[in-house]
Amino acid sequence: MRAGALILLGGLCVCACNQTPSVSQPIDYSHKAHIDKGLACEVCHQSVETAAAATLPTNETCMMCHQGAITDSPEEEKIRQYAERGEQIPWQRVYALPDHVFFSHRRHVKVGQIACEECHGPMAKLTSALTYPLVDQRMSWCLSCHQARGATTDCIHCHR
Amino acid sequence: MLNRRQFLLEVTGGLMLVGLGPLSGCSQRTRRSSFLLNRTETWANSICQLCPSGCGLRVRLINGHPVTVSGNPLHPINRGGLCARGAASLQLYYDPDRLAGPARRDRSLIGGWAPISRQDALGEVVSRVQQSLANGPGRMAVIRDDGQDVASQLFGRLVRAAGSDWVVDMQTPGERAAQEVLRQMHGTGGQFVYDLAASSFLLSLDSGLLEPSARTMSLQRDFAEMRSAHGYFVHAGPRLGVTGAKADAWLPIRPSTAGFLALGVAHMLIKEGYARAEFLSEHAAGFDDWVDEAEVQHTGVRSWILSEFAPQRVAELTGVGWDQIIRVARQFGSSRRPLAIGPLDGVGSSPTFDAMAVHTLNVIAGAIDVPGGVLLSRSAPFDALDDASRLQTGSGRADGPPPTVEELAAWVLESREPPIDVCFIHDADPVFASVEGDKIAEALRKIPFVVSTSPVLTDTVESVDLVLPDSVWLERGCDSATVDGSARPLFSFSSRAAEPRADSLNPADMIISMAKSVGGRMAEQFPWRDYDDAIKDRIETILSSNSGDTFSEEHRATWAQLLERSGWRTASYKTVEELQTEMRNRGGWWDPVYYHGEWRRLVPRGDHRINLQAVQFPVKSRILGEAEITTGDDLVLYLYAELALTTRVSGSLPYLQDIGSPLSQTGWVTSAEINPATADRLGLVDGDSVQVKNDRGEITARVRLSRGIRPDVVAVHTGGGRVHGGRYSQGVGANPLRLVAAGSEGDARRLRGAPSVVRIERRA
Amino acid sequence: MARWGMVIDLNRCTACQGCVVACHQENNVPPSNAKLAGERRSIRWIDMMPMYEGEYPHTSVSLLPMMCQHCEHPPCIKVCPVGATFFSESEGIVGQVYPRCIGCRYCTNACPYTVRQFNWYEPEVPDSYRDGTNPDVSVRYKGVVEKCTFCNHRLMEARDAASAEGRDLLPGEYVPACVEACPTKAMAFGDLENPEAEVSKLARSKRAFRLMEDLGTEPKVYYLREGEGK
Repeated sequence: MRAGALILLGGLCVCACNQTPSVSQPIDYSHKAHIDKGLACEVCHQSVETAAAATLPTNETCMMCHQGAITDSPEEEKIRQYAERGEQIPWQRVYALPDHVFFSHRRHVKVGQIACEECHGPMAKLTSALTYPLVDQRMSWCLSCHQARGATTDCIHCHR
Repeated sequence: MLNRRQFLLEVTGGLMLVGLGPLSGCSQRTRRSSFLLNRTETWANSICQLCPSGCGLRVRLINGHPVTVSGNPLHPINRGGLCARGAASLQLYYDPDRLAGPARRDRSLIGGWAPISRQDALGEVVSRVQQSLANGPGRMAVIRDDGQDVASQLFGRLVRAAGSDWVVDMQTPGERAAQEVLRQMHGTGGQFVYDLAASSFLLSLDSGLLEPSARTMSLQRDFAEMRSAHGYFVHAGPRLGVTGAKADAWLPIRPSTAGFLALGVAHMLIKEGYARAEFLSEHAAGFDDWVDEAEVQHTGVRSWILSEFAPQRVAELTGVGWDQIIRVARQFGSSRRPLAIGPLDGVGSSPTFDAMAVHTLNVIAGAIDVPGGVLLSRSAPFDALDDASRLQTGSGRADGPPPTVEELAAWVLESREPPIDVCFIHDADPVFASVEGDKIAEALRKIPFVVSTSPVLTDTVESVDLVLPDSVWLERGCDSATVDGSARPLFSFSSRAAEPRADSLNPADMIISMAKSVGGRMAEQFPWRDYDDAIKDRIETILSSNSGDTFSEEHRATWAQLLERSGWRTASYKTVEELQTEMRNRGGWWDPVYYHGEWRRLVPRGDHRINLQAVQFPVKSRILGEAEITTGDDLVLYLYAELALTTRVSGSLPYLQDIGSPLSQTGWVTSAEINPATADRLGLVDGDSVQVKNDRGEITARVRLSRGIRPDVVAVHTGGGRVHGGRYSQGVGANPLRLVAAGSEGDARRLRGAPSVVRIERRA
Repeated sequence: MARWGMVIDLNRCTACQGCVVACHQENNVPPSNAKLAGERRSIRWIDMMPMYEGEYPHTSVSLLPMMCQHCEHPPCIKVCPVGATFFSESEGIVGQVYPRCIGCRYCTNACPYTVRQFNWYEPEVPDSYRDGTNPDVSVRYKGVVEKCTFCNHRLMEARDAASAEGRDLLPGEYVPACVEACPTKAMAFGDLENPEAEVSKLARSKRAFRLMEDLGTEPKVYYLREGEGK
């Protein structure tokens, strides 16, 4: 477990600033394929309405459907390989705000009723894995929306 | 070849990308980035073991890692609060210099230790114990802090089962003195509990009641209640300290004169008619003069006090004005609920005399077993697992005062051949904490096999042969049997809160499995499978006692008390499983009832009267009137304890090292507090680095000027001067115990605080 | 709109410093060392301040827990050239945004209560402490100023939970770590705008005083004088 976490941590090198280098994902996941099948965002990003972080799905979530082969794609086979080894899929985080920003998904999704694509872009159209953010999430971008909707612009709400 | 790095636990591979600075546009990552898959926040209970109070903890864990420690709101001792020590307990769990696992002394290796598998370690202990038993009874010993929790009781049981009475508790002189008072004046054991909260006039006789003691948390909380209810508080002592800072008046008495002042106040109470005559006639023996059957005249304590402790005499002895003594005595006597508390830690040259004198004053003021007075702890419905009366050792020592670690060391060194084969050290650091630390180290080296369960390196661990590190309390089931500030018994219990970070285990499990492997009669004394089994056994005893309830809010306790008096019980559990689950969730069980006036319990023997004659006994062996007068540049050394630096486990706790002393505002050094007049006289200024020296030795300290100390005294706190320890404790400060001589006071061996005379010189 | 404030009853405080350690643990304050202490550069978000009066033997000492007073008119925010420190109009708390801080220390000098601390060195934190870091609070680094924030991360978590459940904040739902830890319950905390809150009632007590009131900073930390009297 510790090794897995270290791999994950070691793999993180994304800076949420102007130059956003792209990462490579372990599996070429297609958001479009899953959304077309009727899966809503919160099926996999489970804590989007209950917690600050939306989180990525664990292997257990994927295996609920992919226990047996649904397609003959070798990418799908990788899920089962990871599961067999007892490892989590080492997804690389793409949307990551800097550590001095404390963002709450719960507040924006459950209370603010903001649709996912407003901040994350047209993820539903992606057929291959996300490797760079579709939306440039800068503070000025956050503030413009906050000002437009009359939400708080008090610094204390996001910076601790 | 093993170096220190391998021996110590160091978690490598931590991620901390150094911040590139705010101007670069990049940001610094912390662990928050790791919350990719999951961020689970859970809560668990635990029990702090950094002092005997045993406060209940609530631990907040993020993904299984403890992140915050706060107080359990349901725990009667702390009710959700925590002192500085409890709040720092995470630093022990995460201590980078924790011992990684069992290790065997091997001086042929660099570093001096060889890691050893747990199996091999336990195997060696078992064979050594078997050998010791074969050599004869009474050849084992354990040095521990106290016997409050199951693990330390099991150690005591192990040693007693081997026919030995050397179950040594590291009690302070004050705790030992209190036990003497109970034994000689009440004929019983237990603990005195001061019902401060209900007192209207509190007289602190060098008590250190807001400095650390065995009952720190209860005293702090009850003190706040007393002050909120407008109780008046007078502190007498050579040093103002935190205790004096909270007082309405300060009597700067000489060191070691608390007992004299107590009897001086008692003198005035008797003389001016404030002595509670009815109370004395009903509950005290030896107060008035009497004639026995052989027509021999006996002097009562009353006559003795009146003749020996007149205000002028006491003023000479203590160094404060007789008018002040008279005024305080009148206020004390005329107060509705007066209470006097003596030196809890036992600083001074005659702690037993001081304790008896203060108790005598309380008796004369009628402050025994009344609200606002001195209570005696009610017993829990279960016995201690090392109860001497149930484990016959045959040595006949069981009735006398318990042995001290100094006595053990002296016996070992005096004997030609080592009289002890195996010695265990659990939750104690006697080489550091005792006045005779050097002798104790020598004795430990003489004993063929010494095992320590310390999770960190200490001065004592330096002298042992095998170390089997304990799990820190967060990492194991833990328990504590104590009484709260109203003398009500409680049993705290919790499961493991977090994963162990080292190869350690619950010491109770270790002892049980060891005893079983030893076999024979030893194994018979340990009928439990493991720690959980022993706890279950105790919980069954509690259930069948049909008393008390799991921890609840205070108002519920009052309700329970009212109901119980009428014969009803409101306990929320019926079976052992229910009780255990509830205890685990709420933190423990307690019996929230205290009945005043149970004189058969307070003084079980004879006519149920407190024996006041006992106070005269130690004084006869001491010359009255020779108070510590110093000459020239000599100063009397006054030792005291700082709360942040007095912990049961000698861990490297940097938060505590930093806050050191709230009054002198220094951390990471040992301060020598002196009066500004003294500093002028000696040519010193605040912040000077000095040597404090006498013929016993010398230490380095930092001068702190204080208006709250007598001009003929230098006050130095204990807690510094570890020679061996982790990075945050090794070499920090100095140990003033090196300047103090041990001595004896009647039967009780005086342990420390014997006033030493020292000189202070600026370091060149 | 809220005005979070604190009342500390000096009759009940026993200077155990539980507040100090609880705060440091909650807010990821790095451990100090002898060098820092020698230079008087240890980071302390809350500290016991001794105030001596009288000469020996009539000495008396008061020990006051001192933290950021969260003034209504804070001098510190007026001198910050980059907006790294701010006054929250909605909560009344003086907050910090560490990446904006350029380390000029104008705010540290401007604060009359000397409660602001500057990170002169890179904090030395052992690797083993990492897992015990509180994820709700930023970790600071060399070159930035930090100070007590009234644990506003707890306030934000509480407000988040309250808004998700469609309700107001419950009394006692938000307490800073120091208030929670105090074993003698000497510290009261709450919204001074609410006249019924315990803090408001205590702040109006005859025993109540604030530090350096004549400066006009309007601090929101009140102390209740020691001694007898209601």
